[in-house]
Amino acid sequence: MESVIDAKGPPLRSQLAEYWDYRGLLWHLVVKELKVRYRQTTLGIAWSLAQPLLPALILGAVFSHTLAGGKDLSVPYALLLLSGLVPWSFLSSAVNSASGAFVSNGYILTKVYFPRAVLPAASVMAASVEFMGGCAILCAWAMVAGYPIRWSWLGLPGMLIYTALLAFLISIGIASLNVLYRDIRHALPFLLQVWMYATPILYTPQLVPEKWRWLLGLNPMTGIVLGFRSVLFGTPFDARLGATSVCAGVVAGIAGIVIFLRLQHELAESV
Amino acid sequence: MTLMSVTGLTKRYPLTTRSGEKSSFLALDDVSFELAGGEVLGILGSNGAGKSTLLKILSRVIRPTSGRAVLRGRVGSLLEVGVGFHPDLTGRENVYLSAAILGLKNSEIRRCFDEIVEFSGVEAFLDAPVRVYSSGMYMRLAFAVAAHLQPEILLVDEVLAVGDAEFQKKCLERLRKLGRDGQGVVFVSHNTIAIARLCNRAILLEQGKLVSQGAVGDVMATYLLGDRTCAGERFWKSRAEAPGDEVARLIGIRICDANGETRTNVSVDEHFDIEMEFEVFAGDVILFPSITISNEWGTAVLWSTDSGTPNHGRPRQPGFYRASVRIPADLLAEGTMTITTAMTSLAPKRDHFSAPDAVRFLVTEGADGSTTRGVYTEYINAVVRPRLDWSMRYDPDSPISDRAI
Repeated sequence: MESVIDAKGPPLRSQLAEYWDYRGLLWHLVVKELKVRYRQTTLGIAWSLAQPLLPALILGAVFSHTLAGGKDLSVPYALLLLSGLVPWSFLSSAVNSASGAFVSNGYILTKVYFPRAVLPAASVMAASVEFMGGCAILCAWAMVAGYPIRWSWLGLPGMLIYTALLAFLISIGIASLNVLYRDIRHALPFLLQVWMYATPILYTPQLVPEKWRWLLGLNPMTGIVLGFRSVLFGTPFDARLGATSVCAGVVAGIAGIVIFLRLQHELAESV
Repeated sequence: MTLMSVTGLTKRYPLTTRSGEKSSFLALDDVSFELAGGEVLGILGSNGAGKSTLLKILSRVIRPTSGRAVLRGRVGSLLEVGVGFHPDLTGRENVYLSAAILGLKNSEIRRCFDEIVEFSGVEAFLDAPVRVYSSGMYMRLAFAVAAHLQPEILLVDEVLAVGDAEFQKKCLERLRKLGRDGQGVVFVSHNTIAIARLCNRAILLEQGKLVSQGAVGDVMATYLLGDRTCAGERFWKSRAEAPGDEVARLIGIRICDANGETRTNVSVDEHFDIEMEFEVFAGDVILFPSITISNEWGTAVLWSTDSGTPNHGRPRQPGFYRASVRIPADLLAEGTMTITTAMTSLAPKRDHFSAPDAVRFLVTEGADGSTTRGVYTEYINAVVRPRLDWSMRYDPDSPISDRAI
């Protein structure tokens, strides 16, 4: 086994192969993140279910009369909210923790080499465990509310993987930039809040004036939320909106990859 | 077999000054060397010489600006002990996590887990979070993980600076074993003694440049000579700077061999002289010139004054004096020694001059069996190493006690 160290770094293909060699590390990091987060808590992992559930109850109580008042939504408002909040709270908590992954693990980055994206990947994967819990609650509530189990529910794992992938790719870009510009850490909560209101979580696209509705397609999360609703409740899926949203997701993902690949070898020097 | 060949390795860091001007800093400047299997290579150099930068590049933590290194075999790097330990995780969990960070596969960790635990000696606390560990237990567990990496090339930074003497000994043993097993070790340390004991070869870095490479003793002497003005000899440039008062003043002091050559390093089995020049201004004071040799731990190994010379215990003529004292072979142990010289009068005791650590020199010892240690290779924890007469008689007729059988 011969390896060469130079200014260029190894070719992309061997970099990717390396991630496979380090899958054990990824697993241990995910386990660590979950253990550290819930150790010495009484409720343990149940806390993660509160993340989408509590906002759904609160926002549901506040907005069910103002936003949804009088309009025919076909789905109860609180359930509609939860179906948006489950993927959203996953994405926001994944991006939030993963984008700090390089800075908070700086002391490891400067001492040991391992493929760098393992760190944000672990954060995203730890968050997806909670995502699965959220999905289970969502399904349970849907059944209680009288929605029958459908074949389309089988699409949920696919939606989950797509959302996790999107969160990961966005995060590696943000996490890399965050090492160079620490402002990002401070700006991120506000950006995420704006992003949340720009996503049809509290509302449906139908409530947006037709003239502006296409704007929602620029948001990668729109397709995910609409997809969730369609898969769960069988509501019609706006194919054009969904397709543009997926395109936006692909663009965001590629941007994340490009930023990460450009910065990954400087991380240990700047962190 | 060459395990590693480094050619023209350079690392340039961009700098921006306060006024916004851009400049750069060469942390590593065109460094080339090779590492063969079974070799323990020491990297010497003062702070900021580029030692850690070199190690970080070789362990792939950072990339070089230019140049390349070709490494044959698996590389293990030990830039710090306990990387990735999390205080809230148990000892067991931390072993797995930290081993994974250091690049061990799950199957490998499982295979040597028991060995790691045994080596660390913390079995009883394995399922307690490491934040309740004493710092000694923490270090032992952390090092145990690192010690079970089985790379062809091991890169070790100043890890030996931490931990107690027992721990340091364990580390050194482990590194030496790797060298014997045919792996290559690159070892960075300020501790020249550790380097001398461990390494066959050394390189010396100065401001990013490789200024010397070769046998460890030579490179160490270059390091001492280049690094400090007081290596081997020290003469004060002007009288105003020289230590002294209205009674006596020191001019200079040096270490020299039988040929009168100034020396920066001597072997444990050769004798040498300490030569000291001073001036006396007052003829009515009884003066005691003295030398103290201290080792690198600050322990005074010996003290000596000019008893036996005609002037001893008497007032001496004003004027220039050159004193010389012979230090016999097989007296000092290996290590960095410093000489403190002083001129004292008694009743009341008063130092007319005192030059603490005026000169440094190195006592080296090869491992060829010709010195008093013979072929014993372990660290000898004693300040002197005199040659003593041993006798041994084998008595074939004497009955042997039962227990020995």
